[in-house]
Amino acid sequence: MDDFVIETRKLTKTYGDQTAVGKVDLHVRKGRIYGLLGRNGAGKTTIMKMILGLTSITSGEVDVFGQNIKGREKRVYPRIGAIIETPGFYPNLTGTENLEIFAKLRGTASPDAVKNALEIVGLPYKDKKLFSKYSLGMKQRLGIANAILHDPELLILDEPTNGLDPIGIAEVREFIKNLSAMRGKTILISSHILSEIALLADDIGIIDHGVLLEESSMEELKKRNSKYILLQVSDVSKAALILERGFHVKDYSVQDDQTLRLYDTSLDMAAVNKALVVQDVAVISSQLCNDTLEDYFKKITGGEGIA
Amino acid sequence: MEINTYLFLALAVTLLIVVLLIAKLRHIKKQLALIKDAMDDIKCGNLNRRVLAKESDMTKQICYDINEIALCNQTRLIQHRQAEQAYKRLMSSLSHDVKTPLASLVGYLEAIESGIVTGEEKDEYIRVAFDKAQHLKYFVESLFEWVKLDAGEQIFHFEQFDLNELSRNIMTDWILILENSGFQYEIDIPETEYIMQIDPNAYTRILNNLLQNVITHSKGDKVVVSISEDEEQVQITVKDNGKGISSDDLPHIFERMYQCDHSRSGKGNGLGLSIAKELVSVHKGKITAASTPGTGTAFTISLPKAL
Repeated sequence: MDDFVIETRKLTKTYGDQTAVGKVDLHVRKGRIYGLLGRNGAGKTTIMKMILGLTSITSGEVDVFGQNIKGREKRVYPRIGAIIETPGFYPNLTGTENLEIFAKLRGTASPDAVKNALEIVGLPYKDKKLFSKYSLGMKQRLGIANAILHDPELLILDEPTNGLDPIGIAEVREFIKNLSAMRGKTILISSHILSEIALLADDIGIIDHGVLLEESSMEELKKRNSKYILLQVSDVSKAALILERGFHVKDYSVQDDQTLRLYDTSLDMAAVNKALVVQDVAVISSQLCNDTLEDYFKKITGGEGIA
Repeated sequence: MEINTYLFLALAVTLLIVVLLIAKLRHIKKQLALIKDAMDDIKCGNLNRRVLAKESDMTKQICYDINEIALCNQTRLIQHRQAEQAYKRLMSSLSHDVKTPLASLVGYLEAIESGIVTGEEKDEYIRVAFDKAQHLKYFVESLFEWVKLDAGEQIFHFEQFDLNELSRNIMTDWILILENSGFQYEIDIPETEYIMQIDPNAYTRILNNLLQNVITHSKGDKVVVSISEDEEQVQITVKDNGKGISSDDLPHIFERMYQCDHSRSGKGNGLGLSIAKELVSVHKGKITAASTPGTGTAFTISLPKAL
């Protein structure tokens, strides 16, 4: 059985007769980065808020760390770090001073927690700059530093790269990846940018109009994303010879005793099949695998695509 | 009367102290319960769990120590797991790298043995088969060398050598090969003597791998090998004027099995640079690559003077 850090069952949020989130079953596995992908207003933030108890749940259940969150909030929330929308900091204090206040309020896991947190996000410790003078990117970084200040097991990050320049986005992506890879954190992250999620997430949930359309691992999706011809034959050695001599194919690999992958998809497969059969190699199957991630998302969201 | 007032005051103070102590005791009890909770969780294998402590808590140091122990164990576990995964990946890509040339080699040999090809064509087949066998042999040799390095089983013999002299000798062997491969060369090694601790075999291998790389992959026609030194280190640079390496590939070129030529038809095996890097680090040095696509690549080895 998989170890889920967050599991929701039929999680629903309605405002009057409007459904913001409808029967969402989310499964966030331990130690992985889960990317919640959807357009603006699809319901990503609402789901995160319900998990964090920042907004009431209309119906459905949320399990965090394997237990229902209801009635255990005080024990569970110290183990989560979150950034939802813009976090509130004191404008007339420096970044370090702001974090020190939060450290005092929540308690920390080590004596130099503030320094460590700032180091991870790449902000200077004991800098004299006031928060009000921070750029948007620095504010966003400080928000993340605040979220990881108490070294939580689970991070919930709502569009953490919003408002950052491309280099900033790459840097944030890098340290989020590191938090998962080097520190074993479980991370739930939302974004409306497909390429962003594709670069970062291990698992992905696609949400549209409050409904979770698909939940899958990135590995699975990437498999569908590559372009090649899968050729199953009775004798790979003979087939390799025919391909090399007759069709000058060099870009291929042998998968097992029967399967070849040809990476040149422009090959005239009719001629290849014929040549193989004529020379006594039985062709069991020949299949073109050619699907891009974008195509796939378009299919899932019903033609419109995402972002 | 006066005594009574004193008694009363003393009683009041005692009562106050008792109340305070009880409150303190309850607070500590609560904290101990929290610590126990976390300990149970950590015992069950959740090394991500942290115990949070505030500045004023009596249990602060215990909490910090528990966190440190959990963190240390977790870091070790993650490193172990990553090494395991890297090995698995290596094994699976390996099996393709061996299977593909082997399958086609068998194909050629079968064709020769069964007499399908005769005369000149047969000679051609034998030549191709021989090339493939050579390539396979070279690959397996590199692989074993790499595995030995990785496992730390390679034994090095550091001796006092004149780096410049050694480099000149290596280059002498390369001149003919470079000329035959259509490369112009420029060798800029100072006439001075520079004695340092070096394993000559390992150093030769590093230069060989870099130069072989230039010939096989750069597609250029000129190579410059130069050595320069300052107070702290010696820099050996191998520069070509070839097609360069794209910025997407550049960060990965020293990873084992990474090949910029994403087709599988390339002559390389993705081990040369990885071996070079290991060998440079044995000399406590660093190897870096800088490249501009279209104008060439420069590999720089920096060896510290005080080894």
